[in-house]
Amino acid sequence: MNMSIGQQLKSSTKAIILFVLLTISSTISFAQAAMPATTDVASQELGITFWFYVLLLIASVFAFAVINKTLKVLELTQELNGKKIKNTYNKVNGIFFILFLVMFLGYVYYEFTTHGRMLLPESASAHGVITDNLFNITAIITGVVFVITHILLFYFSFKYKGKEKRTAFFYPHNDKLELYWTIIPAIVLAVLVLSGWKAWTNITSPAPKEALTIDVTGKQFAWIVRYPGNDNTLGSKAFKLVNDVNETGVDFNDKNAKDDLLVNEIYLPVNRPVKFNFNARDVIHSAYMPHFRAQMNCVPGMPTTFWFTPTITTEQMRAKTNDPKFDYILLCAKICGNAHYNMQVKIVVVNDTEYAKWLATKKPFYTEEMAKQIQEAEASVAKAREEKLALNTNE
Amino acid sequence: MSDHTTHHTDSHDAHHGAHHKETFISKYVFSMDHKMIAKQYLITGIIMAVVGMVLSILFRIQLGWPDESFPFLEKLLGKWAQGGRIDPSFYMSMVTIHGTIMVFFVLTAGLSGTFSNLLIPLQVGARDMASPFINMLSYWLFFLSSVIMAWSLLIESGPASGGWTIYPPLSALPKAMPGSGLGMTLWLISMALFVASALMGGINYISTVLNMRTKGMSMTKMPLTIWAFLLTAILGVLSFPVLFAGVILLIFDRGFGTSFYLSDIFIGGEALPNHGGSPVLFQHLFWFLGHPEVYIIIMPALGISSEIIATNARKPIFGYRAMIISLIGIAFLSFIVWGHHMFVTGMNPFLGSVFMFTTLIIAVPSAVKTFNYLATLWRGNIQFTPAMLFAIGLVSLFITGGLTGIFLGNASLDINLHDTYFVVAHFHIVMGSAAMFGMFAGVYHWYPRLFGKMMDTRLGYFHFWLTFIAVYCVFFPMHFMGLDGVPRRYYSFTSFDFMKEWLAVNKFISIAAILGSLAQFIFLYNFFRSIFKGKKAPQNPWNSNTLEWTAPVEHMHGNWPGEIPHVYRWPYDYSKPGHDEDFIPQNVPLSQTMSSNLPGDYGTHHGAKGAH
Ligand code: HEM
Ligand SMILES: [Cu+2]
Ligand SMILES: [Cu+2]
Repeated sequence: MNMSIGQQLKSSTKAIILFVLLTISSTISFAQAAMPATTDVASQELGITFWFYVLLLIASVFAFAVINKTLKVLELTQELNGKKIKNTYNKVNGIFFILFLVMFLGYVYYEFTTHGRMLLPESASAHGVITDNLFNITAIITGVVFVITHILLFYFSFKYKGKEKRTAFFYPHNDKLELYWTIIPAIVLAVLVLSGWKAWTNITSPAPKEALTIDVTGKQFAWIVRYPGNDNTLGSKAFKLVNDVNETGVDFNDKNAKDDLLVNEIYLPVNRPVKFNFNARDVIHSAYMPHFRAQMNCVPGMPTTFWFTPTITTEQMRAKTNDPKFDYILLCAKICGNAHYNMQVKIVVVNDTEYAKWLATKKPFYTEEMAKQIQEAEASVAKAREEKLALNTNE
Repeated sequence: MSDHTTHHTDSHDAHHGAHHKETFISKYVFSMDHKMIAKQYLITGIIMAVVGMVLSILFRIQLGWPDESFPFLEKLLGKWAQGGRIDPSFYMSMVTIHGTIMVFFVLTAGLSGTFSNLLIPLQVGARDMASPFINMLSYWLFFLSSVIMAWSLLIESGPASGGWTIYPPLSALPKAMPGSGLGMTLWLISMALFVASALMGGINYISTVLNMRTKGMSMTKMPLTIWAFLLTAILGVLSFPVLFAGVILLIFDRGFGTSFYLSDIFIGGEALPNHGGSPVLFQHLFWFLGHPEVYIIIMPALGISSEIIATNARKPIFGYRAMIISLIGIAFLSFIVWGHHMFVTGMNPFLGSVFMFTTLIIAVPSAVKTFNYLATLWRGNIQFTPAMLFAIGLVSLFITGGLTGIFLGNASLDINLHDTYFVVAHFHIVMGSAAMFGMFAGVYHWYPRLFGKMMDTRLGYFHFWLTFIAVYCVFFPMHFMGLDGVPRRYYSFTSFDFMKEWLAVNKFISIAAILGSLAQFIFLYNFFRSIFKGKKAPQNPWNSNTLEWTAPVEHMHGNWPGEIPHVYRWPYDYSKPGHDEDFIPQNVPLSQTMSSNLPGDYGTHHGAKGAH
């Protein structure tokens, strides 16, 4: 302490005043920004709330400065009494750590019991039951580690807080201990890997033959869903056939394509495996169906697939969740542009008869009129492509 | 500051006989002195961090109050916030630039650049870096790339907006989003310069550590900071070129009609001629850097906290050798786990299995490090400097975030977690916050070495506690959003019924984030004020063992007047029984400490044969 108390206080007062002035001046410039350009009531009200926050900010800076200064004075008096402020702060921070531990565990408990109750309902797919189970096992193991290590960390910080008389224990290593805490995590992780691996190979195994196959194509910012129709076989498609009318490039010379259906909602019969063929037209999208624990990227130029078996109908799930408005959903999880946040299709899981009924109401989308439109569109695309080709040697 | 200069000149002449006079430009601008370059890195990093923080507050306002309008936003952002509401495309840009700045400019350059530069020569006992000139170039390339990145925020069509991972085709096609136009071009140029800067820095760090250690400083007597910086630099030198290649190919696809990443694209009513490319190829190249990159960020933070925890617990770091082995293990493994970011890209499922195995193996050395930190605290005599608080905070965050990695590394669980808020929570805790805490710890600890002044301790305490609480309030609830299937990078959560229940939580998170960022002003105030008004630093303020504290407080070229100190022992002789003080600096010969020497001290592997 090479300055007198008076000097100390003076320079810190100056600093505080400077800080407050800075804050005020910057908030004033902000506030000007908040000045309502129009005089309508709503924006005036907002202006008022804004001023409220400005005042709050100033008040809290002041409060902070006052607390800070009080502490400083306390510090100085303590130092004058010949006590080392370092030891006081060791004590204070040690106590803070134990308080933090209690609050932290309470907070984590609160999170698990409130936000932890707002999660997805039970898995509506067969494989999801297995992965949920695996999730729970992992959560228990990591949860135990989490709690124990945090108790140790903060308790040690409290218990061994620095004191004048304390000498630390010179303890550079203990090979046996270190071996244990290498091998035990390794074994636990090996168990987790093996069960995860088993689940993963099952999930990614080829789809069963009897699976319903659906074609889903992502584009900015919608999903195009095609059903195979009565023949249960999707017509083939080709990129060079894509245009504004034939959005996914279905090849209508393929007779399997003639009865294909385009739909706005995905209906799935319960307990029958469904295989999705995914693709994207423009950029990468990701077809995410959280209730079925299913996700697969949709990549332009690279078809991908995912299959699963839905096990709970929408009706049943509505009853289970006590939410009459509940619906399954397919949404986009890969950043794909400005409207990425709103790219969804409803999924409805029904029993076989309802499914058949729904299917019967759908008409194939390939009609005479459409054939004509497609021809026109193809011609114009072909022309555009020729012009491009002159510039590009790639094809 | 004025007495600085006088002292400086005469002492550096003492051993660089023929050194010419320094001008303002050569001393403060184009400096080749590693200590000045460290300061330049730090201050640039802090400025970029403030930019990144402001961006995050702006988009948190959107997420917390998606239905309200804030007139001041329009004043601030103009056409990007018409009617006081942030535009979706600018939202995307802000998320992208926030991520890029924080990952690369703050936690890579700001962290490694500052502390590798400051500590490598001072802790291994070298007069400067192997090549001071390349070191200077490294900083100025970084500066240039920062300027370009920040400038891209101001251009008409908006900055890059495809996410910090810039996956093509989104990032390759200006038609796909406005940010993929000029903004993306600037992003790519900036990153190419950044990579060049990182390489120049890294090569310097490696050669200095390997070749320029003082007498007695064997590899097994190096402080863990140096081990961490060395391995970090090796990771960077091996992986950044791969990102560079990826970026160059993307530039070709964007500008010269090649098809590395593009195939079968129909956009804006038009089919593109590109054929045969693979968007997934870019992801392989990106994550081949991207995963080592996250360890490039955390390893220096771990090294820093090892040093700080040992010093302030007044105990040797527990298991010095195990700490080194686990760092090496992490460094090696981090090259063969990148595929865990791509489990659901449609990659061959067998590859997914392989990456799942390697990923979960990497958790083992991470666990060892944590346990060793705990054992170091046990029966210590813990001095709670602000640096120590942040180092303890780092351990907590590393545990919390590392544990969620175990969920994500399990491919079958990742199917449902990928690209949700669970991932956001994971990496903000384990990387964002933990590494940031490491950086704060380092700044508080080595501030006396950087500026010759002390920071205010009390403000440091406020800063720590407010930040620590805010971090958990901001990121912990995000786990649960992710588990409810809420995807990341969403402009708002109002379009889906099942997400509406999270609106209140988002508000809470935004408020915590705003308060947490206000707490950073305490740090900024403390940092900049102390440069001018701080108490003068003593020679060795924390009673530390490492060599940097033997150099004079006033900076000088060549670091030490006269001969460089020799090293006789490992850096962790704290509270050694039989010695009258609770620390023995590395340059104290064994012959002076007969009363405390142990049989193992005379062997080569000091750490390996300590007391039992
Ligand atoms: C215990 C060890 C860890 C494991 C097993 C692990 C595993 C994973 C996995 C599997 C992902 C991909 C999640 C997804 O996108 O679906 C991930 C994401 C990530 N991890 Fe970790 N992680 C670990 C530790 C770390 C550390 C130490 C850091 C950084 C310091 C880190 C930083 C990240 C980042 C930045 C991402 C997300 C990148 C993005 O998609 O934007 N992780 N982690
Ligand atoms: Cu999307
Ligand atoms: Cu990774």
